[in-house]
Amino acid sequence: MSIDDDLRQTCLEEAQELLTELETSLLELESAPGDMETVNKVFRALHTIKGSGSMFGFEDVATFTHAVETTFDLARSGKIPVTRPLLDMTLEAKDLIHSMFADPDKAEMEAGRREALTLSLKDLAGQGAPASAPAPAQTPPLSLSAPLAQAPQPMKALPEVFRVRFKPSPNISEPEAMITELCKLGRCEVFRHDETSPEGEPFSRWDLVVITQAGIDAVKDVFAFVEEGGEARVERLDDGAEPENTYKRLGDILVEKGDISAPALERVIDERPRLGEVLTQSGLVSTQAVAAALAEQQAAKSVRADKGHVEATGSIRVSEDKLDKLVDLVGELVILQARLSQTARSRGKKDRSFNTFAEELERLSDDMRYYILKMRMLPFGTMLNKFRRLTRDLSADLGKQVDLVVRGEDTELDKTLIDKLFDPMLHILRNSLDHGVESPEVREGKGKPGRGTIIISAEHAGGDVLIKVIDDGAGLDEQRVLAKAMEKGLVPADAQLTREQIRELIFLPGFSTAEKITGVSGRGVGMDVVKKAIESLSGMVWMESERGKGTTLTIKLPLTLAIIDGLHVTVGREAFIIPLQMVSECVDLVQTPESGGGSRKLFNHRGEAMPYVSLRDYFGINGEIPRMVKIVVATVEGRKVGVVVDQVVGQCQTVIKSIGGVYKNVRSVSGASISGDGSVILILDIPAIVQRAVRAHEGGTHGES
Amino acid sequence: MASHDPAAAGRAATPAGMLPLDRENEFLLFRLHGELFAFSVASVREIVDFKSITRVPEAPHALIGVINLRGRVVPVVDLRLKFGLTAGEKTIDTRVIIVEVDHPGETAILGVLVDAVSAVRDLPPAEVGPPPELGAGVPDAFILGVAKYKSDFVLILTMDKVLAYEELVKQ
Repeated sequence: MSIDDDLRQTCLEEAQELLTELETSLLELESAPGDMETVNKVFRALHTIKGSGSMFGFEDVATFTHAVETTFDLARSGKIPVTRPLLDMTLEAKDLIHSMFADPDKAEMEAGRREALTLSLKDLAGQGAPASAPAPAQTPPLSLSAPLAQAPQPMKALPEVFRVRFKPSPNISEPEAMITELCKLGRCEVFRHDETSPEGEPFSRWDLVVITQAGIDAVKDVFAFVEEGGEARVERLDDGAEPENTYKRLGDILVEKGDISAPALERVIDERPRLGEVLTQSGLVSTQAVAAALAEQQAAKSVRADKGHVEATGSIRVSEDKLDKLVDLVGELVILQARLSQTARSRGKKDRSFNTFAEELERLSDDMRYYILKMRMLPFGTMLNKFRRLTRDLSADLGKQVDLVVRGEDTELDKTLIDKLFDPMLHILRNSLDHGVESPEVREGKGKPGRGTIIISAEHAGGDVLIKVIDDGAGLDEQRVLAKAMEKGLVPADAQLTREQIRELIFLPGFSTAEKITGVSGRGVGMDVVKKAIESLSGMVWMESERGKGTTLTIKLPLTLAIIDGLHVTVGREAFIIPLQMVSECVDLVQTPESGGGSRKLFNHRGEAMPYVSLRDYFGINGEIPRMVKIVVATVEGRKVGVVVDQVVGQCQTVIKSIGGVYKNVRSVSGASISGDGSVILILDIPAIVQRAVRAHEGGTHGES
Repeated sequence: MASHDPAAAGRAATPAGMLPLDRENEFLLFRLHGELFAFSVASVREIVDFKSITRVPEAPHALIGVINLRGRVVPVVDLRLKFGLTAGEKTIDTRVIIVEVDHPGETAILGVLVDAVSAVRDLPPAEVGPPPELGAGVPDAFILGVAKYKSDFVLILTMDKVLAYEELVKQ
């Protein structure tokens, strides 16, 4: 790849990010049209796209973006209001710019659309341009339309700068603890002054500058327990807001009036010693004090500078291949580490230092594993932009009014998961929009607000991520689902199913209740595809629904696909790993002579009858059956099931490896791992085993449970 | 095509998995149930000693399990079982030939369990005869031809067919 290509590639990636940012901001503006900060963000994004476009030879991008930017500039300067048409047009422009970068063929076909849009934008601009006339009636400012009537949303707290002069009382034992506490609030500059009191006692006082979003009360709280004889003065230096009236400096005024030329003024200023130096030299103020004051000034400046790009964090672009390689390598490291630890345990008694090395290495490799896997993590929010857009466009098409609320945007997931989750999520969301949320008239008829709400939330729960799509729509019509399933022959006509079982029906292949086939969903490829996709990610998906109130779809996924915690078990001479995430406990079972037959196996687990599967029988493993065996209690699809093994060796961290395509038909095994002694251990797919065991047990009986 | 010089090719130090084109007539000879068989060396990556193997349940008969090849999990095919013979005793001569074959959607790395590996020999096409009438119990489709090696006959196998995906997943 030549340097030019390289640069172009970087430009494309950058444009991609900017376009995403642009879309986010535009959608934010819909709910808070008055937020000038966001208007500025849109403008900045457009401006940068234009700039890099022309720099890298995307001339047409530059020209087109310029037209959009020009109109949006009027909104920025308040000459035209931020209206829905303006946002619509800018969103459309975003799509058009996107194809100009990514898909030149498509862009060529869209030339007409671009021209039309440029004209409409000019039109819109024309309305505002002459002497900032009020906008015509047909384009009311967004803030007047119903859903947008709320006041602009409160913005995220801006960082503020506080100065704290802290002089602890002489009897306080650990003033440093308070300072440590303060530093937790945000960025902190600490200046310690060691002085001597008039009585000749040495004492310390501190000048602290802290930049925090926590607010003045939090800062004051830190020093709530300054005892008698001490003092802590907290002052706000800069609240982050724009200064309302900044007085011009004397020099500037003189230059403006022409009394002195700017270069001359600068020369004089340069020659003049800095105030700090003057004060220090005259002995009025210590160097320490000046340094503290300068830090204060610096902090205030940096907060102002930060405001311009709150989102910007220091990051570098790394190709995914490199990360994958790194994950592979750390996987190898974890395996080697396990082997070393095993050796260390057996030899450690003789050789203490060897043991210490092994332990230190273990800590190090654990940390490394953690951070490397973390590098692959992306916030859940990165996939949501397209969903916001989809909700907006689709609900308009369907004549519905739907708000998309997102919770837990910052929840981090493995990049692979995010990529693979996109299609299933899209499908679920479409379903909610199409089948879930009713039209405004129907909703109002039921006494619900006309606007529906779909909540997408993500949260961590142990080693899993729970993703929920919640709508406040019609809920699942269980009778209709059942009738449909019978009609399609998916269940026997005389089947008696529980509500849970009926809900499971929608995940069957070929099931779709859509009365008419819309372009949105209802092509019969539905939830079964979703279920399969989620299961291929070692996840689960289930649905809860209340008629008339709404539906909740929950997806449970492991945090990462590369490494899992497992339980090492043995049966006869064979060893297996059971993923720990589904294990709740292990209990003893005294084998009775008749066990191993085909009869229904139930175990009295805390007073409840729990079914169990013997791995020995399941896999047909020979060998002497120990009198005392272990039951590993696992939770499969919300039900507790026992898995009988000979021994539980212990917990281990394992890297999941594929056992190869030729074993694709082996359902009971989800992968393999290399054990401490270098042999291969299989990782069991417990849900699949339980399902097969249940089916084998039920045999010919008609699916009754 | 490069000129043929088996002597030079045999000595040439080439990295594993990268064989020069002029080795196309080279075969790896191995024993199975007392008989000599051969594979083209073109797809052979390496030969390893048989150590421990992990059985995979529910798998076809001839797929006897998986081994750890320097951190990689590799399925192993027992050729005796594939050819309907009884499983052999594991001896110090037992070897696993690691090969690369094209399977749908991937280049599969497989291990082939044999009783012993004998030699690498050049068997020019001129010396290879048609498959015998009765292929020693091995399906005709698997046999490329027969050649003489010392006082023995060598059955040359077409590895692509023996280790084809459909062939392996067959119960």
